[in-house]
Amino acid sequence: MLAEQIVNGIILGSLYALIAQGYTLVFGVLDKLNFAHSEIFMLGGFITVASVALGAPVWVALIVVFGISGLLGLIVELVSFRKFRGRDAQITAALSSFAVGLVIIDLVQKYCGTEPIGLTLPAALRVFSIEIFGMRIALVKLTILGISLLLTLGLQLLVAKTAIGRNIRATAESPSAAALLGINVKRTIQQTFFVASALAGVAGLTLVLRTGYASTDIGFSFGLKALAIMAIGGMGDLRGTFLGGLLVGVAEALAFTTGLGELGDTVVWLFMIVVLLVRPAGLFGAKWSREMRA
Amino acid sequence: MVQGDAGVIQDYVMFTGVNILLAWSVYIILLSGSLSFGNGAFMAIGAYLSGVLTVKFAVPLLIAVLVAGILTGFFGVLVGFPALRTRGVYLILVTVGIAASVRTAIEAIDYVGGVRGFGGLAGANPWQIAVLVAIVGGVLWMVSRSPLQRILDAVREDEQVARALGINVVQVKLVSFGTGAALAAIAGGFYGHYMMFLRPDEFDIMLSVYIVFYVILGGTNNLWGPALGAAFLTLAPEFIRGLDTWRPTVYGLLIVLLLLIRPEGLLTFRLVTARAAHLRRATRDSDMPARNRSPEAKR
Amino acid sequence: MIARGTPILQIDSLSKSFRGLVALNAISFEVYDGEILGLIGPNGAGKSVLVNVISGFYGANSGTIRYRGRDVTGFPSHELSRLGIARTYQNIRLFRRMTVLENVLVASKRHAAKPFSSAFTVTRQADIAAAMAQLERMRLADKADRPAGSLAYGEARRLEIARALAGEPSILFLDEPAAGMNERETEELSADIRLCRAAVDVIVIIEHDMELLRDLSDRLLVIASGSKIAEGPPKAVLADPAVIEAYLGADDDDD
Repeated sequence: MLAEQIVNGIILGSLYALIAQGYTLVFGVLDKLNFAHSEIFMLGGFITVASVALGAPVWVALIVVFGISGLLGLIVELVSFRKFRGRDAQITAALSSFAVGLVIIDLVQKYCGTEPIGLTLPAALRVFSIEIFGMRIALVKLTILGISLLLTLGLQLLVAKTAIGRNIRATAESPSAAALLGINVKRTIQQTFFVASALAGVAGLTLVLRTGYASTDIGFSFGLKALAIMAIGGMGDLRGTFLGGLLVGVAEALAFTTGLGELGDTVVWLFMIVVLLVRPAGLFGAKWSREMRA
Repeated sequence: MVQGDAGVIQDYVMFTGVNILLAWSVYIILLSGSLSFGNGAFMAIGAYLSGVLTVKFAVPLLIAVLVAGILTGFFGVLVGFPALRTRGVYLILVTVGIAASVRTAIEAIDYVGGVRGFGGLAGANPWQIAVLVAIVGGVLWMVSRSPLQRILDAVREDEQVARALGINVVQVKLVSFGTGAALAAIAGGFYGHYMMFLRPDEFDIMLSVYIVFYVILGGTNNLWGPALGAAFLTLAPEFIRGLDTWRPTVYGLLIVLLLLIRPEGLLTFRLVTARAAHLRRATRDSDMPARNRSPEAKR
Repeated sequence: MIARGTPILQIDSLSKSFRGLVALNAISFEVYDGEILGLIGPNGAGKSVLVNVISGFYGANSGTIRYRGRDVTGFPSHELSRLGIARTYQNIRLFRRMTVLENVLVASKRHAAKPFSSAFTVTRQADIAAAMAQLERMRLADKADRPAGSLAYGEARRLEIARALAGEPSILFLDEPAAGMNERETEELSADIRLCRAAVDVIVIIEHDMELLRDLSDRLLVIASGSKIAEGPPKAVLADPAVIEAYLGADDDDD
């Protein structure tokens, strides 16, 4: 059913968007890509499985994942980003964070094996479904959608309305000007990383809830796609990234119905390349990206 | 056992040689200022193209590999176009995108076996690779002492000024991309015909990433760095127990550490004194009349 | 105004704007063979934009540039360079990681035009000698093997000039060469520029400080807010009330 597919697409898309917005946050503030981001996402899934297996309810797992992922983000910032300024800093930070991501994957695989690990969902989530507009939607899916939307909303509010958000925006606009205004730029960057990584971890949690297992491969595939989404939707632009995520999610869901599923990834990548060439600011405009302000 | 030993040595030579060529293919592109994460894809295209030529059209190996190299070189020039307008991470994204796309594209093509793979390739031996390494190394060495090296350095360091000095930067970058792609493809061609069987999942994005790791860990100052990096990182896991299984973690940590220790000039490199040494000798030997030297000159 | 020699460069109604902000407003002037032309104006007048347009960094929005009678509007930088237009930069842009000597060697037109044909050759003695000669004229020969990034400010300026001259240009644009220099350094610079006069057909000096140009230039061109407001021999131009007004007005606003 088409409507159902679209809903699936929106749910998937909101997940993509959540990951992509984490990339966008860091890129907006530092003009650099954090390639460890997607592995923190992946790790979030494993932490979820572990927490649930130890008997924690989902909301506790959420808090645990949030905290650990955030902390991991702080470590990544320290190791892969703090020291690099200057000309090739973008590439150096990308390489370094990518290497960190590799290490994370490898360690998880050494500890948990290379096969996916299943998750036993609490009975309530597994069984119940509700009916909306004539569609049966599992409670699990609604939970996922709820978490994604809530977090996205929370992020937008954080950035737009709070003091931290103001600091982030100012730093994104110009770190030197922000420093002159008395903003603790170093602290702001750390906060940015914490938030972005915590979101990544929670995104991992939502994915695990949806699929029922944690796997070490998903960081890569989702991460690459999220990067493409960010480039398409607008590098450094939160709203654009969110819209881009939904767009890709729905497009993917529709593609599956028409049987073109596998080529979907390639198409997304090619589309990204085209967008980067033609309109580097992304389809939905660039609010933050300093690259654009030549 | 002797047979096995010879086989093992052949493997060492082969894989080390191929990786050296791949590292150099990234280095060649890096010379003009772009860090390409797509060379695994070029390797794949070269392997498959040459395979198609030998298996389906009975073209002799060397010609097939050469043709595959040239064709992939042109493809590399196409890829180079985005490189002209993008810098830094944007370029990374583009080359990663291409690398990722190539693999899924190959999987979708049944003519070359799709996901199941492509077999029947044969005829490559490590000595061909050894000769190729010697040739390419020789060429790179000669270039490093030539005026072309300076032009590449200028393009890499400050494109705009290079243009203002009469250098057609677009041409230089595109030739650089094409050459690097062609070399990766040729390496892929020999690799494929040695392994005798190709599977798309061998040519995933990690391949391109590891090649870049070889180059970075080996050092980007001159042609030796990537070669040594490739050689060492190919052979070390064979001899250091446990390294093979822990490769990602060890290499990853090495990269993180190396970048922390030497973050500046990672890509805009070049030990000035070493490279210009031959020039220094030249100026000392050149006979200029003493009266033309400026008064403060010290001998 | 007495024209010296033939016009090497003819700028006609050149205009350039950035996102609605007008940087150059239909500027027209000519540059004659053998002269040193001074281009002055207050900060933000558009002088650097003008150089950037003429040397091909930016495309003009409208107007034409004729070089030796030939329309070169819209030509890319490298072609303009090969035709004989050279420049230095306000914020010195040397190849810091290359040696002083290499900075000059890389400017050799022969190699720049055909980069790959020299791939298998070694740098020729003749080329090194020619480069050393350029360095000697700028009193940098003894520093030939040092990294360009290690030079002092004044030396770096001279190297930029030497590098620009190594391409044997016809016109040399010097973009604010006296920036950051004290009086003694400026005098040295003035002497150096006179030394170079014989090596090129035309020198155009862009400056915001009038002292350097007062004695050095044959003619002055004054630009303010993107438009030409005066042109002529230095003494007359500098006494022109419109020119004084432009500088005084500008000085009121900033600095």
